Amino acid sequence: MLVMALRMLMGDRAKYLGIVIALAFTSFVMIQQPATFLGILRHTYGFITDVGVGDVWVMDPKARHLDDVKPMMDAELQRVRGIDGVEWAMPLYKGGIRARLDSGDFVQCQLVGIDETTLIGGPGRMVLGKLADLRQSDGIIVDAAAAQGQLAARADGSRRPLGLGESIELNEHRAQVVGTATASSNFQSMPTLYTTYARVKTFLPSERKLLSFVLVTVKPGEDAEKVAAEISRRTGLAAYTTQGFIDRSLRHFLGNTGMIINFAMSAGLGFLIGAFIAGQTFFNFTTDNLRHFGVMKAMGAGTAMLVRMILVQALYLGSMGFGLGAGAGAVMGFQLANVDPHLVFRLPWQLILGGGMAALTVIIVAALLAIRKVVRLEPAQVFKA
Amino acid sequence: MSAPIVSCRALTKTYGQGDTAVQALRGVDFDAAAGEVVMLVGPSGCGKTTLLSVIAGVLDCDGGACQVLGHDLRGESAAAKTRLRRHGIGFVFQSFNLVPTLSVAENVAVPLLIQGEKRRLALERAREALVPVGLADKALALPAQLSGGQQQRVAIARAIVHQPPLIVCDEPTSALDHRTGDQVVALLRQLAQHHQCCLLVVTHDNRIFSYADRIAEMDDGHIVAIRDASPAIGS
Repeated sequence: MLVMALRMLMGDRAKYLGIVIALAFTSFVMIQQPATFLGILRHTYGFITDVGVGDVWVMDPKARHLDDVKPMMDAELQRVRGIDGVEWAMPLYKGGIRARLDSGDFVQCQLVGIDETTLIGGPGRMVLGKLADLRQSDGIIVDAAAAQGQLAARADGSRRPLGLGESIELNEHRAQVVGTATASSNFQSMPTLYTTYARVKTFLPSERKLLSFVLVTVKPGEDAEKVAAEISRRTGLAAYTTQGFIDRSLRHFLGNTGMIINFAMSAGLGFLIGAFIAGQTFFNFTTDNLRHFGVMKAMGAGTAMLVRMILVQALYLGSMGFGLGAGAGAVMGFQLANVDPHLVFRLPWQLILGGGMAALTVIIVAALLAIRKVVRLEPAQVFKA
Repeated sequence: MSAPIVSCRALTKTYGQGDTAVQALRGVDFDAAAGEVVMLVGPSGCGKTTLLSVIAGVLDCDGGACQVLGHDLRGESAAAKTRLRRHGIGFVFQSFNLVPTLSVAENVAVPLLIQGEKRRLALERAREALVPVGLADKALALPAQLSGGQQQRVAIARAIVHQPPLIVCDEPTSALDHRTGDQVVALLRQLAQHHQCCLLVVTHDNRIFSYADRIAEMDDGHIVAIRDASPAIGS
């Protein structure tokens, strides 16, 4: 009878396709919207994950999140290095700077200064050039997307990607591009420029305090949480584990940025609308077949058999709809993100699992409502014309 | 008369309560035997379909006794009545009640599949059941591709495919023209006699009375007369 249940479902092609499309739409919304939302959230901490090394981030205690930098004196670096449990500690500068392009246009950029000796904190994946080239005179590494986009304007009015060996002006100082690298977009979508911590002082001579963060790796066997607490206690600075700093930055943006909440609401609304359409469509399909279930009940089909039939139909529809919708959402998201790096899309397995569970829940709830009707169905009703 | 398939005594059934209560059966006594064709006739609202529903085990009676295929329906659980219907009763409805998205053979196979028969075997037996109703060549067609008479013949094949000892028919000819209705009832009678099953037919259609062995006339919840009929076709 279970095969028959699927034949009943697929026999009416128009209705069957209608339900699958409704479910696919729901799944598309459930995957695409949260994946974009997660991508936007990643903007708030992408820099931390880009750095990729370090167990503990140390900063001024007034700094609330990644972009809320309160510069510290360079001497703080030495104080942190002196704490028990610290394997090494490196300086990191992160701040804004105006870049003057070949075209004469100014573009506000994010400047990152990393330790010249170890180059710890540099971009994870180079596209052109080598990270070590950063040691060259006036050297900067530009994020690859910006090199082709925001920094590509030319004096003749054309747009040409900023390439190796070319220069831009940073605060009236010449900066030569020695490499391009992949960098996560930041919340303000500003181009990211990497240089050495020492050279930041050249580009920003008027700043007395430049140290934004101290990147710390703890000794093997040491607990990062405990070392962070010890750094805070001994220096009076704020110290968070990498995950703790990501969470802190996320919390700040979630709590203080209306745009993110609005986006989350729109994603939630999309889900609710899709869920309603899919649930209603499946419910209607089952109630349309109520008479046939009644006939089967009269012929001796038990309630358990009818319930199994409806659940098989629901699970089949759920799988088909979710597969198509999630697949389409993922393909569209990744394709768009490839075309424009500012369009973000993040699809972790947890989201796929969560989306699948949500689609399943929607269809199961609709099935249960329909099953309720089938269970209550009096077989004697089949004798009414 | 051979062994009784149906035996009802002082059967009562009331719909609703209080001022709105409607007594549909007011102490009905009724018997039907194997191989017998009995038609329940009478005006609308006289209780024909209610009696058929109680005998078919799809409606509970309030009082009296109702023995069907050796089971006392008043004492049976819902599950036992479901089993009785699954194995012992075939159904033919006024509006055919074929699943429009299933093929003819699949529709006929439904009672076998409900019994737990394997799909392949069920379809094989369903095709065999389509032979005596003259629709062997329509096994793969959809119900919508058939005429009303053909659809009712599919419903008859569905009713006999699992060879039940009792077939209940509710107004089997009311959706058909006279000639087709005549053919359908003739076929029903022929198959019932071939399988030696009891055929209970609720009908308004006096043109098919001649196919009955007995006619039970009902009025206001009572069987007011039971008379023998002269069948139009012999066994």
